[in-house]
Amino acid sequence: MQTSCLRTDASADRPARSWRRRILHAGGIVALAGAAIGLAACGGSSSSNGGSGGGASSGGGSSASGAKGVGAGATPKCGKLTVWTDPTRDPAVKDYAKTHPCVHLDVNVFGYAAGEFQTKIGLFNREGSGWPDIAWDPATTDAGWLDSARYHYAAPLNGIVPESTLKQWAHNSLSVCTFGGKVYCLRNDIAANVIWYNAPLMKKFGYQVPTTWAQYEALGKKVAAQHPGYVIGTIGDGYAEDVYFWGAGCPSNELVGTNKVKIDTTDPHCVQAANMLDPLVKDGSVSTLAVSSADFAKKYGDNNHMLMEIGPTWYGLFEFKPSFKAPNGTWGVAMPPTWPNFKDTGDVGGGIWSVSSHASPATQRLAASMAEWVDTNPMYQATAPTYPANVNAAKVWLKTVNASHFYANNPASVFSKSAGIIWPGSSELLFSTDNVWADTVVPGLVKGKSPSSLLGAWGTALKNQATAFGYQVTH
Amino acid sequence: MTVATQVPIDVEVPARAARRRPRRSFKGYAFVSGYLAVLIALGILPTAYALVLAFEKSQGGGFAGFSNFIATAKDYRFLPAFANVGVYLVIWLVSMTVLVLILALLVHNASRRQSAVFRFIYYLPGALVGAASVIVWLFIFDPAVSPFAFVLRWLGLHSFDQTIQGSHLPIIFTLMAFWTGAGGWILVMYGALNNISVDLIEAARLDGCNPLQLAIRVKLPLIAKWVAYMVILSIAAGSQIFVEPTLISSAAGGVISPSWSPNQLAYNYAFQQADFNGASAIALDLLVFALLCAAIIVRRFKLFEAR
Repeated sequence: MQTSCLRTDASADRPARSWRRRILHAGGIVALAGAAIGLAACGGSSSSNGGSGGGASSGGGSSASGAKGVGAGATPKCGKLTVWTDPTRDPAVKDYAKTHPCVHLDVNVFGYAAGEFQTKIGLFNREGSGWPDIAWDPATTDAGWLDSARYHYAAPLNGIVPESTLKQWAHNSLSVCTFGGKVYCLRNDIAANVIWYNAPLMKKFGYQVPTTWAQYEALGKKVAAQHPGYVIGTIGDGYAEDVYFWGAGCPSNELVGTNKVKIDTTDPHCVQAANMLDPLVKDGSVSTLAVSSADFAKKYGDNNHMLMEIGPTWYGLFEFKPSFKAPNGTWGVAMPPTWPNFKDTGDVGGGIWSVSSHASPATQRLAASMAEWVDTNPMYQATAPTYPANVNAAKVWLKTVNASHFYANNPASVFSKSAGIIWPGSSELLFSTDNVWADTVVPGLVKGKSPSSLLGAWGTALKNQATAFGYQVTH
Repeated sequence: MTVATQVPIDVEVPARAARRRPRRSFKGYAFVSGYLAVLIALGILPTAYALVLAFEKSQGGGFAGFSNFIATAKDYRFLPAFANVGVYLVIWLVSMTVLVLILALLVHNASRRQSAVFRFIYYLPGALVGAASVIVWLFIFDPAVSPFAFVLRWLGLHSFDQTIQGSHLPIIFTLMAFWTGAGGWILVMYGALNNISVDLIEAARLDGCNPLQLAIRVKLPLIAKWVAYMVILSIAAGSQIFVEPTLISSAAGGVISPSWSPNQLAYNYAFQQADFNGASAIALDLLVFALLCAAIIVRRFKLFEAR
């Protein structure tokens, strides 16, 4: 089963277990590469967070196809909706279709290969038609472009979805959808970072689960000295930013205004995370391999040398269990470590539903009601693969989460509490900042450089990328 | 004698030739029409469209002059992308040309049976092209799963990330391109070598040429134009490299820049930045680069001059 909460941009793609998907990507990429030269025509304009570029002449941007003012009125009970979803969310769409026979759905299920959704929307913008009325997106990172001037797809939901309803989403979970004070998407699931610990190994070695990053660092040093070859984390992929740096309050991608982003990797919050990691990377207790790589599986996963990982709530069932064949009862979860000056945690992934700004007001209301239904309905969310962002749906989900008997302890409490402390300072931009970590910092780590020595290069790359995408960068 | 034969032709043939010409032309056009239709639909029209877009303002339309070209050239990713591809092209073209010629000459010198076997073997990898071949190479380059892991480890490469680090990429892409493309070119060169008159080779041998001298002084100059064609087409293909870096980066969690090559950068402009005008400008840069290289080679090897 596809893990819909995983980000699907190129940076976050999962190498070890997605060969088939990658082959599919390749086909799409080859086809689209040809199209890149010639196809297509314009784009959108007007914006909330987007840059200055691209676009506009026929499709988005014009009053005819731009965000239509959503007039007051009741949500229609019947109508026709074009829906885009992935195989994982398709059951939810089918449930909606069953319970809403009056709504005719034209459903397009596809794999959301890297960039596929964005490419299609871009081409529809050139064409001036073809947009789905409601679209699932398995990458919260895409929220950055969905509402932007360049793409202008997502309609603001304020006024369509009641404020009281929006308040039923977990604390800060809609921050990824919020630009200029408006909510442009409904988050389906969230994935706060927590501590994953190998319970039998921790007991065998006599270690305590850390509660602070200082304890985490001390544990890493102890593991390197007493049990070399075991790891307590990894920074070999883009998730390192989400786990260690957002988890320290590092302003690597914080929107501070329309089209203005704060990037300062020399901030003390970033430096404290890097300094903590330096000795652990050096002594090998934190790996520089991607957790989803074949190398990592061979070195640590397959031979039970993973003592601990800091990662999202889906790590256990969607990474450790399928990739490393972790037996039930191996992995326990605990609250993420904290800093003296920072108590929040980062998150990795989560999916969103967006409503087309090109649809009529009535269609927008119907589409928004569908998104709300799918995100909140216990029929689907109770057994959904990932932690629901809607608090009511989460309550139902948490009752069933331990039914799999996978976890060493009941994770409900940790999952619930961690969902409430996700740091809102990590904004979704027009590009993936995870990607920048992967292609800037990881090659340096591979060459033996320390995380702290790469902070400057990372910051420069982030700023360059932000500038290229039309952002004004501030410190 | 020449004059004697030309005069009657000049005088008598036009009427017959005029009758035949339309039929010949029609057959020729019919023969190439399928190719022509595809060329126009998927080659000329998109190129013309890119040409229009490249000189159009990205916002609001209207003539943009060279602003799209200037803006993209100032992009911090532009020069590194062209530098990456430049290094790759140099390594690939030199190694491919040398190895293809050596292998073609060896095949040409072999006995008929050996030659057939080797031509088949050389061509086999060409059956696995594009994304499929990249997937095969992904396995080969990953020490965790590669059947050649011992070679990688001997080279000091213990992880996939180490194998595909930036400085190795031109060589990695050269290996991939050679694997899939060289076989076809070896056959083309073999065909070209077969076109050389047996009498000429025999004469050279009688004059005392050893096999090496025969290859360098007789055979190679006679197939120089074929080599030039190979280089021109290889420059065009190589400068557009896209699938290889994209797939390898995807497989490695994005450790290769998504704008490693100019074609990737153009793709990012179009589909990440929604700037089709900038993308078209970069595409035209690539076209101009390939055309310039082709023009130099055509001129140098006098490709369009009759023998």
